[in-house]
Amino acid sequence: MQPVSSFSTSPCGKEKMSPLVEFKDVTFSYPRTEQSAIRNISFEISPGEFVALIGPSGAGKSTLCYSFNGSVPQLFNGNMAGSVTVAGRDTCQEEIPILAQHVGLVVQNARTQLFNVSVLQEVGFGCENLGMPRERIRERVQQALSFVGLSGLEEREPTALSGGQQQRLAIACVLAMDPEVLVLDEPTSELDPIGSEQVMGVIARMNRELGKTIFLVTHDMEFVAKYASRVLVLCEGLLIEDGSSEKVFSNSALLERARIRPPQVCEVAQGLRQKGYSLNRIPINMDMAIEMFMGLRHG
Amino acid sequence: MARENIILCENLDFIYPNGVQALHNITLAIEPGEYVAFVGQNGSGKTTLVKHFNGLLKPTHGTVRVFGEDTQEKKVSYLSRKVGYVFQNPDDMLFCNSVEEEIAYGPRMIGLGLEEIGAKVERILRELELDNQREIHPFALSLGDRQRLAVACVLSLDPEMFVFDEPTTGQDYFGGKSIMMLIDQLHAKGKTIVIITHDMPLVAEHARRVVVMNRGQIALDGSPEQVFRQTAQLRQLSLRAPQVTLLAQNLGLKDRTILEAASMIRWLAEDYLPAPGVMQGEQA
Repeated sequence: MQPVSSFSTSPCGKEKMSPLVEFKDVTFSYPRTEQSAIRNISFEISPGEFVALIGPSGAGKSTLCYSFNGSVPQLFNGNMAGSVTVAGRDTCQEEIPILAQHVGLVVQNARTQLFNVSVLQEVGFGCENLGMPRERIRERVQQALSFVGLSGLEEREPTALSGGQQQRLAIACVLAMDPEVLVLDEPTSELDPIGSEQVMGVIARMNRELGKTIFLVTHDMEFVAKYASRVLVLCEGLLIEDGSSEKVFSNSALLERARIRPPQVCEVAQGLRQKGYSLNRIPINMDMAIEMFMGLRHG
Repeated sequence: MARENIILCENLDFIYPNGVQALHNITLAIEPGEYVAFVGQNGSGKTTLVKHFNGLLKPTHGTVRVFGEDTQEKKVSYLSRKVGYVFQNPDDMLFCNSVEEEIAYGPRMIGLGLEEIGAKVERILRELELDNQREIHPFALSLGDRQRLAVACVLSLDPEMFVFDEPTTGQDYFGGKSIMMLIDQLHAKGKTIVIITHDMPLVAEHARRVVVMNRGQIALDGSPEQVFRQTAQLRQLSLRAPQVTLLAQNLGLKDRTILEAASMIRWLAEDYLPAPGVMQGEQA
């Protein structure tokens, strides 16, 4: 494992810090549509948080992702009300190349984000465009590739990589620019089990080891339960919940409304409640479930 | 043999033109009415194998028989009337200007009469709840509805067997559930079902047989109970049984395999935990 020294790591202490990301009453509608894609969205994210965004298809999750780096409303035209501030910058006003140094966005189908002839050029592209000195780019590229586990593939053609490798390459491309926040839109939805596990592992390590703030959209609820310190639930453009994964996965009515299936251990616990067992909490992962059910059995 | 096999692969090898051998000596039979899930990592040969079931690919060595007929001598246009193939991405198979035309395309190509085509299209539009969208351009539909339309197109040729390549990928829970209900209905009508998926809970809840592929070979083949019990082998293949299956194993259930939440709840309530009243007393 290469050292990752040149990436800045943001502190993730417990004390209250000024928010890194701030959405204030944000509403956005695409041209020629009657309903807004997202409506009256307000939330803040502190440095070092791991936030998951969940919700059904069409809820506005991707639109919300595009609002982090100014793509909405600067590239996707439409009507926006409210404000988004990232690292103190207004995303409606600030130039996208400046915002890109603070927010790395990995879009839903990462393949569409890759276009260079080699892995090396692909990862260096962002830094080049920011006008970094050659040596620094080299160092950043090497470290980003090492971090996502793609060292040695520098000369390969991005399109010839496996789906999981392409997804990790897309992450390396934004990581090389060393942003404080990484926004990832369903990074594993098209991957096989090994590929998913590796990509999710990289995301968790970016948070833990580099202190990066993570904003992750996913349908993988077991992963949400395992890593996210906070979960936002989006439904029909509205933010209907903002809390811990335990709080979200314990709320059957909410899950039903947002058409979310929680991890199976939550379903089991809810089923036991319906059978008259009084559980004081809902387990959200395997370890909690084992401990709880063994405890109940042995009194 | 009790019933004639729908699919019979014997010593099937497949080597792609670039020299990569994707399948090694596969021998496999599928009987009418089976519901088989093929699982395994990308590159393990799942899609290559199922593409042999309707002649999209022909064996390099060995034989594949579909309804007793050697696919080597048959055209895809003939075999596709017996085995329908629904691609992973519905956009790969949709190209007409309206939902109605799209469904009529297959029947037109096999030369059915206008009246018969009309009746068929009507029936399928109703069955798949697409009748309100008959004049819409396929690409204006939601992903879930495009998926249904892709199924509709295959249904229009009345095949005995359906192959679904990752039917729920990219869909949310609701979308995935609705497509699985559709597949279950086809199975209930006696159709033979083959699906490829990475979603193990889905396999456990729907399929009756699981074939695990690894490096072009069959690593495991059995009922979901038999396959998901092999925790160590699955781990080696980087596959994981559903969370409830593992939870039951972790709680010491040895003599059977739990496949879905409902049976887990029953087992906990009836066998594993004391009755709720007793427990509440203890807790208080």
